[in-house]
Amino acid sequence: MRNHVVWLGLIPALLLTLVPAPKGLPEADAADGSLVLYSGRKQKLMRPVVRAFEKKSGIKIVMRTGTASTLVNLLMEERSAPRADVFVALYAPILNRLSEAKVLAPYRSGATDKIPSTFRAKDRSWIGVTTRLRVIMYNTKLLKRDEAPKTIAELAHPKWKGKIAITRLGNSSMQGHLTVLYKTLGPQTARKFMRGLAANAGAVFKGHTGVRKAVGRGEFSVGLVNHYYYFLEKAGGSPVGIIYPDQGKGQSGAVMTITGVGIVSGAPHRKAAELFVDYLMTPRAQQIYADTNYEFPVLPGVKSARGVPPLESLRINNYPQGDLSGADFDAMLRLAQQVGMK
Amino acid sequence: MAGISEAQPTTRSSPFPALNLRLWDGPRASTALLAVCGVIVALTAIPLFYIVIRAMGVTASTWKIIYLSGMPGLFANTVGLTATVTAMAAAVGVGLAYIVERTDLGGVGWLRPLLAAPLAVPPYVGAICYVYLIGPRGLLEATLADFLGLHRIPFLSLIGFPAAFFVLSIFTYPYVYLLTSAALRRSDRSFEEAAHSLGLSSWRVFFTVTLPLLRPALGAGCLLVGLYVLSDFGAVSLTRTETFSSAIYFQLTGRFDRAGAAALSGVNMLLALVILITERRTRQRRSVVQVRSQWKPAEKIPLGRWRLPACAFIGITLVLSLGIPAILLSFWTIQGFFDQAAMLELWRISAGSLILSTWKSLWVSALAATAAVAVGLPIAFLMGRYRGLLPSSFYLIAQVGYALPAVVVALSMIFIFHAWAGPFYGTVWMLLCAYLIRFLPQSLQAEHASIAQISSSLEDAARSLGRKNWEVVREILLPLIAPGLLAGWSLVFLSTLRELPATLLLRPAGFDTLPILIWTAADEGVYIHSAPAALLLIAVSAVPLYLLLSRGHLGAAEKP
Repeated sequence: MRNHVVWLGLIPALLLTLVPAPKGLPEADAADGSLVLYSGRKQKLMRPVVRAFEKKSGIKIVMRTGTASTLVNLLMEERSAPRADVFVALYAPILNRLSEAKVLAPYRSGATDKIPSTFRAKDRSWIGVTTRLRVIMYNTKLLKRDEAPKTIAELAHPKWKGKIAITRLGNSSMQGHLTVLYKTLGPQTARKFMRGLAANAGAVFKGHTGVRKAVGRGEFSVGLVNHYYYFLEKAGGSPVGIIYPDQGKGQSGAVMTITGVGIVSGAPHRKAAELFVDYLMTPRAQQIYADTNYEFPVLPGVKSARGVPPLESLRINNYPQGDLSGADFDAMLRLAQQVGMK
Repeated sequence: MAGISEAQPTTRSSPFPALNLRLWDGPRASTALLAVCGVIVALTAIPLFYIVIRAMGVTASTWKIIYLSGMPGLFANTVGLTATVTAMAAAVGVGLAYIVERTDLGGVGWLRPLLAAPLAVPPYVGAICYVYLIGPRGLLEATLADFLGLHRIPFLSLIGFPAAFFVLSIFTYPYVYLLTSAALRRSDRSFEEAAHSLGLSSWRVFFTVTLPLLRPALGAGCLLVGLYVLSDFGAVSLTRTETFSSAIYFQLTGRFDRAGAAALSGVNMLLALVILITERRTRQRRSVVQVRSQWKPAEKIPLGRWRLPACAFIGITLVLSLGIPAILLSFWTIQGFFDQAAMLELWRISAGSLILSTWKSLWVSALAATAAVAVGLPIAFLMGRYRGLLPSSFYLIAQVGYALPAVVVALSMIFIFHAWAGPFYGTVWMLLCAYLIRFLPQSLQAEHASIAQISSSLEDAARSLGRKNWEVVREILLPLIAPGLLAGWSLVFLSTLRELPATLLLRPAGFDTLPILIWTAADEGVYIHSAPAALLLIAVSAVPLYLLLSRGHLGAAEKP
């Protein structure tokens, strides 16, 4: 009797094993011509644009999201037989590293020519999609506006010990920010700043959502984030304020990090990839990013979302994005790890 | 069937059988069997050696950076968390088992499975719930503080090490509970009664007689808990604690250099080895002989004035490990229907992805389970039917996954596939290999336990009647060990279903299983979005768990 029960359990189990792989496996998708997108951006932030593109072009997109370094490692390893068509990354050094390794292929079209040359690779192997500013957000119940830190350097001051929330060193924007600081301040000053910041961090989160929520609910008074995280938290009704740092006369201005897109060399679906890149440069796609995520569009003439100041009204640290090399990035990372940044 | 119901619970059979120094002790296995086993063992052992080699090849400067970036704290955290969670799980697990099995509390029929049910809740799901409820400025603290006009009430919130300790303890105690309650049911009461008749109090009897009798089961349970804590990624990182597992994960995902991850993995493996050796050494010191023929059912100990505390203990445990997660997840799921953004995101845009993810989870878990059962069978047979150094060392090596945290297995897969199996790199087959190596010990132990119970004389008899080898296996062995196969299958299925870190690291584009859906949403702090997937995962996990519990393979429903 009991053995019958066993077989009743085993047989469906074995049958389940025999059925073909579920749809959505890469093997299945490669065959039906979908575009494979590796994205260092979160799924949630990519989805609106991806849906809009799918609807317009009829091309399906299979997305793999992950941290930039995971995807870069993957792209490097798949070089001989690429699986991905398009790579979306969150900051310039990582894109430049891939350009240096010829993992990304140059692409030029009418659509990409409309984007200012400061927002793309010298060899045109990647092109900017949006830009973001690194800002300080604070909890208005805990700090008055004039008490909040006004410059990035202030974040390393001992008076903020335990009061700041930051992201891990593994976060793309953090890496982009620190690489710019490393290049503009020089190793000595950058090292001192990072040591102070690491010592002051009350918590180190995986991503900025963790940071903004912690500041929003009042666990920490100050957070170092990208500007749109302030707007997202504000939209959720939290008591938060924003400081665009280093705006004073003679100060260096807010650091900008760029999100960019590149076509993978030897992409299995090159045509579809080109269509997708062109689509990202259209006013429609640029507007989606501006509206849903409060980012600064790279296409001239597209307005930023309500409440987001136009880029021209702010002092910006203008270190050229195309000049942040893979080697700069490595040097920054070594330094940061040595001073104990998580 | 009597023989089977008296079986030792599968998880209890030793992962490290005593070694015999002769290569073969008795008859030798056929060349074909040996070759098959050799290939399997080689494939499971390669990752281990590869990591060791990579860890040894790490340069001094990398070690220095790793040391500077917080190795001592990491070490203290990992060891501390493993030790405290194991101790807490042991105390709770043994306490519950003793109350349910030895006292006159009553309700045994429904308490037995209910107390094991938290196994269906993955600790990372529990962590999501508790960080929301009792994290810093979580629901509890924020509500009370705002009511009192304060900003923070720090002692009302839990984060970091204490939070990880709390969450891991309440979701891992069932390992200890299951094994010790099964042992309590099996063990002979005459020792305890003798102690009683000599005038010892119930407490003294518990500590001087019962507990030593429970030692092997307790040790095995603690081993499972300890190795789990070493391997956990989700719960520790949600509670902002750093252990080797999470450090390796972040090293792998946040940096471009894998040497550091290999170095950390090497240290992590050493820790796992220390745990395994400790458990084995303490086990060897025991020498209690029980004479089965004099076995008699235990007399229940009257609880008296301890009844209320006992009820409270059980009640609190169940509320914390089952009630709160179930209520909160259900609440979020229902809330999702009323929240416009969540409604859109969850039910219009991704309802399809929820179903697809469930299907992917089921598919990959079934495949991993079937593969693990199939691959385990030759090794289990070799171990069950032959003696000597060769069978036992094969059996031992095939179980490396037992001691390797999932992130380490994932790292080794990345190395190996990159070096030798390029075309399969980043495919679902790579993920499947990781599951197989990680969970093979579970199927292997279940299979070995059931093969060991069946006398080889049955097979000899069949052979003497002219049956060929494969006919013997098909007609005699497989039908007899089918329950063991199903148990092994269900265990691997259950483990794969809830697996998070290796899946996060190795999954191909678009291959989002239920744990991935839960994790991605929780990672972005939108708990409403992770709730339906979490409920679904718990519901799906309950099926194999029920199968295991009801057939006594986890030792719970077994009646003396």
